[in-house]
Amino acid sequence: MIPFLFAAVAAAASPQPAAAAASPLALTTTMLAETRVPAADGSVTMKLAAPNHVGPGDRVVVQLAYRNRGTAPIAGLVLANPVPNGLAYRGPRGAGAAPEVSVDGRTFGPLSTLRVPAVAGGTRPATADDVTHVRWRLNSPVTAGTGGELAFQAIVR
Amino acid sequence: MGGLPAAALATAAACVPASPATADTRAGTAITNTAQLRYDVDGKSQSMPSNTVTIVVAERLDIGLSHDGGMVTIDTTPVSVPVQLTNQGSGQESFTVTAGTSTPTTTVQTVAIDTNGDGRFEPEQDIVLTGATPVLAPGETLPLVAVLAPTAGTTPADGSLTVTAEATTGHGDPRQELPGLGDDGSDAIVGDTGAIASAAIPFVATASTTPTLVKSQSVAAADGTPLTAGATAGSGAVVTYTLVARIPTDAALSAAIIDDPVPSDAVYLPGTLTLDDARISDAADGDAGGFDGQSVSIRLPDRPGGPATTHTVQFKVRLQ
Repeated sequence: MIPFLFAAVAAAASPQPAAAAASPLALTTTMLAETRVPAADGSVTMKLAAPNHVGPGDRVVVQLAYRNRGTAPIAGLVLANPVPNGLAYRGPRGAGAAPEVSVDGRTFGPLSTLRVPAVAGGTRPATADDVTHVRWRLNSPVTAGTGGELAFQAIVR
Repeated sequence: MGGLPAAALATAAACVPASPATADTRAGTAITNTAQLRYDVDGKSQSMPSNTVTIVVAERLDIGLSHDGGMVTIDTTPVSVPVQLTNQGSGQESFTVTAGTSTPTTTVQTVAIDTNGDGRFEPEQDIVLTGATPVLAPGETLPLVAVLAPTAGTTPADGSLTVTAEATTGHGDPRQELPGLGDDGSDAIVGDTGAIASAAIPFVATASTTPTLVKSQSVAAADGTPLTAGATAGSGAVVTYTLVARIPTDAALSAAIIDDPVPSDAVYLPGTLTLDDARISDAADGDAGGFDGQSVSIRLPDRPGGPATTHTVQFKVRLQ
């Protein structure tokens, strides 16, 4: 489902060309609104749509799509996304790898390993609200003509 | 395999709040996202940005309207009824306010901004509302006062005052969209309150010969901060119930008992029961009342007659 929605919304949002002409890689980001759609049988499905009417508390999915447009494998890919001002990180989304996160842009790791200064002094365990950056490091080279999608979930503060 | 340059990440971090937000993101705010990609080519590190995408935060329209719960009594002179209007939405919003009564013997003389918040209409300083309210910031409360006056040539009767306020941008069903009508040209969307609220406030006439009992409530969040009408009281919130019994002139009272079951989703807070501001123990020990595990019960003082009087019962519960 996601690739279809991604394509539709990307067209609607008219993203600017992502890559410099010389780059063999393309990186495109999209932000989509995630809404709960209850069914008659009581089940709930999550639907992604263009973020036309989001407000505080609404769920947003930030997607990164990368593709090797060149002719040779490319190694050492790191995709990083500062959490946009106005959003609060909530967690990984989709089948892609879970990202490393950071609360200061310098130290990355699982959220459970991070701490932030406490109001009363000292430090406290970081929460999802504290996350400022999201990062994926790809272990394998991206072969020519292939790519992938990674995503994280957030809410509007 | 390398990471992004720390300096670049630190620069980006400077414009991202590192602690939880304490207020909603304002309507009209543009949220932009640009990702970064780093990779290696021929042993040399390269980096590039993604495209940039933007979301404009829509304005959520919500409203709260509350009355402090005091008993309203109508006699031969105008009486002020305080009402608090709160902008519970996420944008700058003004509201239109209307008021009316259920009985032709009492009319709404005016609705004004209670500039000093004392609950009384003072014409020399309060501002009569002739149109929409001033623009209220998100979360801002505007104290209002409605002035009720007896209709000339009629005998005051019991009734109710209904104050209604609605967002000037629009109101309707929750999630209804109002494209382009929000702050800074953002879309507006109707919130859970429908962006319209009414407060029905009963009043009694001093000429009334029937005893009356009016129940009201005020809610504080678990951290003690007051909630306004329309806000959702969550688990842990403390509700203070106030029951005001008015006994009219010459009415006799014998073995009158106020019995009020505690709601099933709440727990009575021991030691909070009062009658006319005097503490009443929870036990069945011979004083005027108590709590039997399900209901609060208070016996009002007997009397053969006499002037009109009121008795006020208060107790607190905690929502589960």
